[in-house]
Amino acid sequence: MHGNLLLILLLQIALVLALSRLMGWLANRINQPQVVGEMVAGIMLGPSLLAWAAPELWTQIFRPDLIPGSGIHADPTQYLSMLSQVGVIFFLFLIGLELDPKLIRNRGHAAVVISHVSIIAPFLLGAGLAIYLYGEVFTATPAMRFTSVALFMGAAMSITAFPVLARILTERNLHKTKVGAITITCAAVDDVTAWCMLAFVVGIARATGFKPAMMTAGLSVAYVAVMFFAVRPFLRRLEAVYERQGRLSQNVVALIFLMILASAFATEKIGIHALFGAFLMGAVMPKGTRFVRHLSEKLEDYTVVFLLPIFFAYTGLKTQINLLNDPQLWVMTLIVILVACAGKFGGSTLAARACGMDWRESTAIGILMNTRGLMELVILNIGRDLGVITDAVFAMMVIMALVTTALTTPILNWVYPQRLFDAAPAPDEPRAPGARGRFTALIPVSDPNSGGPLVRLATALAGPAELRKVVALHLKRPVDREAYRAGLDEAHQPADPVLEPLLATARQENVDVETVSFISTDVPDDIASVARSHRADLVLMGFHRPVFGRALLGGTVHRVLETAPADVAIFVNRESGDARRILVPYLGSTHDRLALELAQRLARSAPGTGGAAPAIRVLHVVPPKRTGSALGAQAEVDRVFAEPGQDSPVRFQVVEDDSPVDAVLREARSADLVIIGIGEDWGLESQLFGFRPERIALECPTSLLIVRKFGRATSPAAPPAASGSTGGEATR
Amino acid sequence: MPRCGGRVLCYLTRRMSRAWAVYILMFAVAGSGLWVIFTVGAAVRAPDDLSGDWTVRWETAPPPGSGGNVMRVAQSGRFFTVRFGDHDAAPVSLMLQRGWRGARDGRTLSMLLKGGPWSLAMTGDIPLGGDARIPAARVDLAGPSRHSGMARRLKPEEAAQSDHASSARPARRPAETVHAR
Repeated sequence: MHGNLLLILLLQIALVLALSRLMGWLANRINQPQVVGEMVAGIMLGPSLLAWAAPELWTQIFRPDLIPGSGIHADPTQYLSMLSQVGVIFFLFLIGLELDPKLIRNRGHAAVVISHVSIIAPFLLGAGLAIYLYGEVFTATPAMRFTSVALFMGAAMSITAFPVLARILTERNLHKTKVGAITITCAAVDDVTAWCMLAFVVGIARATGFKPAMMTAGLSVAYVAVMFFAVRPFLRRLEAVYERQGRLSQNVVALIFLMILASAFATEKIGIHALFGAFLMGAVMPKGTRFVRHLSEKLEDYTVVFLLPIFFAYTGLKTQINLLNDPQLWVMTLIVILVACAGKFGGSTLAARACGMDWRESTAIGILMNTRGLMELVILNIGRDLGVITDAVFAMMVIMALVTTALTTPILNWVYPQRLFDAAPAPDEPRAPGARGRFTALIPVSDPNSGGPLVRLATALAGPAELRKVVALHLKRPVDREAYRAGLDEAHQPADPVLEPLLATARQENVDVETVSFISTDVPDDIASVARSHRADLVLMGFHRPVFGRALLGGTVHRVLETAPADVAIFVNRESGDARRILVPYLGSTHDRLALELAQRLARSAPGTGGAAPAIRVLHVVPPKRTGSALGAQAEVDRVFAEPGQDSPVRFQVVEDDSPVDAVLREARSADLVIIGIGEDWGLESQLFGFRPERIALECPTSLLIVRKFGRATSPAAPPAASGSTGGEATR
Repeated sequence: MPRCGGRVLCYLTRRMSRAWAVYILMFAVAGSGLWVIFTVGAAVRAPDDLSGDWTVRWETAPPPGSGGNVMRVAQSGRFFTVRFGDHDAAPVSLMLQRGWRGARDGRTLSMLLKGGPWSLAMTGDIPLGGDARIPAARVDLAGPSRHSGMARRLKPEEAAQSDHASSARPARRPAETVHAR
């Protein structure tokens, strides 16, 4: 390749990747699937925006061969085209790879019926629409015969974007619901049917007579038979080799790549398009095994992050929205969108309703099935390359794909809001910790190392086994890979590695732990939801130092403190050993009182676990010469610790100091654990402009448990008027 | 019709599960629907293909602003974008008028395109054989000025050469386009 041409190509790819990631990120920010942003990025780089707004710049970047004297004589977009074709071949292989027959089996008749109706209805409407559009925006060429056009329009209307759908379902945690299970099954069936249908349409479009058509059909049947009866058993042997070696060797990967390419080559030669070969190669791979998982991990990042954006960009380069330069053409675009929605959304909704689902569930299924995304673009590109559709129809259909994909999330939120999935009490339902005699501790974990210490502390706080419930929660951030995994059998999912250390500790300590693990786009919000649904009394979590800044109580922790419908405790583990000496700074706020209660719980549970009760020191800091004000505080401490069976030595210590923070830091040196309520006096509550000094959290030499009482915080107790205190120490 | 469909559904549901009934009905609708679509569609015709690059031998002065003898036609059904000259020439958006005659009407093609102040008439003989695309046509452009000539369709290799020779550019801004109404 000419040196300058290589530079141009590298520049193009860099621009495409950067813009598609940026637009994908922006799409995510507005609750849209990433694919919507990537599709828009592709269109932006094409004649519809960049070439229209800055034709000279566009020519320099994408068509420098058209500039006299540039020294470049080949069209660089041809190379982009080839890269994008290879990308789509591997992407279709991935789609086939993730297609699990278990999704289709044992899912009930309703799913099969809905999926078939969701293909037949849009197919018929799409083919019917061709009657109107054929005389308006199609041209009488050999490739654009009415039969080919009608079949192609039907196939293009009936596609569903399995990856985007899976991503939406996993992001909303719908994939384990009835609606999610049926939808994912329908999408899987749609995928198989649509690609078979497309192979048929391509065969028809390319056929030059009855005999060649029969030849194509016969060869196709033979090819499918070879794939199932020869290639599939061979792949099982490859899997056995993988299991024996325990790793996926480069030779095996190379062999599979060769088989993908050979399969694509064979179907292209037969006349049913290379993409069908890649898809079928993925479909016949052994399912749900480590072998496949490992292989897809090797392929996905390169394909999805690198090659697919190039496909979007290449599609964008071919999308000329400026061809729709007449109001009639925009009316036709609107009709195309309406027909697409009527067929897919209407068909799926009515079929679901006919199968006995309620209207809301049926509508949700219809909305989800109406997502077309990337798969539509793949089909449209095939149609355009075959000459079955004109550039204007291509532009209309790209707009339709974009609109139907972008509409999915907002309409689903409107029709089927998330709250309907949360079988939870109202957020403001009053609760009292342990009021039902049972104490539930929820432990959100993101760092596996924090799991062990957290479960030990939660067990101690939650009390005896018969009265405690410990729930470990891991919320995973969505990644692209999850989208393809959503439909796989749960049994194939490995144990959550983040929760594994926590569970190992729990097994050692003989503690029963319930685990909850799902994908979350809003971690604090989902922690609050799980706390609500499990009626948690305490959310106990570690802290996470943010990437920027030093604040310990910022980011996720801050939002959990603000929103969790339960008491919250943040454990700052400084590995200061067993909590034999506990310090509880106390100024009288409700948060301080919770700190006292939790210290009392720790003291009470110690004998039950075979250890000695820890020594608790309550530290009351008063301004110099104001020790008389400590009386009210001492009464409160007496009340909290006046529990039957309480034998922990509690020492009430009054310290005179202008700075409560300095006093606590000084006294913390002789403690193993400090339990402190969140509050302005301790520098742990937001002050001016949200600034939170957090000196105690940052400088405390021992482990720290920062606690926040659920409900409206009260200000520190006013110093009581009573006098006559002797001050000093009060030991019980 | 809905009442009839409901009765059929009721009958079928008495005999089998509701899902099976929907399934069978759907396939029946699909089969008959496709038959209707292909039957009706057989009577529908799309405009003949005029897209591509043409070279025009003008009998009068060439259109103002045209940089050469090339006429570039982009066509999506009845909707045309025509450039007289290279890709830098301002495109003219034109729409095919009803009453056109093409390959299905005989051996003569006759099309009238209109857009803004311009109208373009193209007439030519349709060749015998498989390819119905006319190789040559008479061009009559009328509007603020009148221009006539004989156009010959360029072969793909000639069109590619013409592309390079003209140092083509991407489509112009729509503001420069004369819209068809």
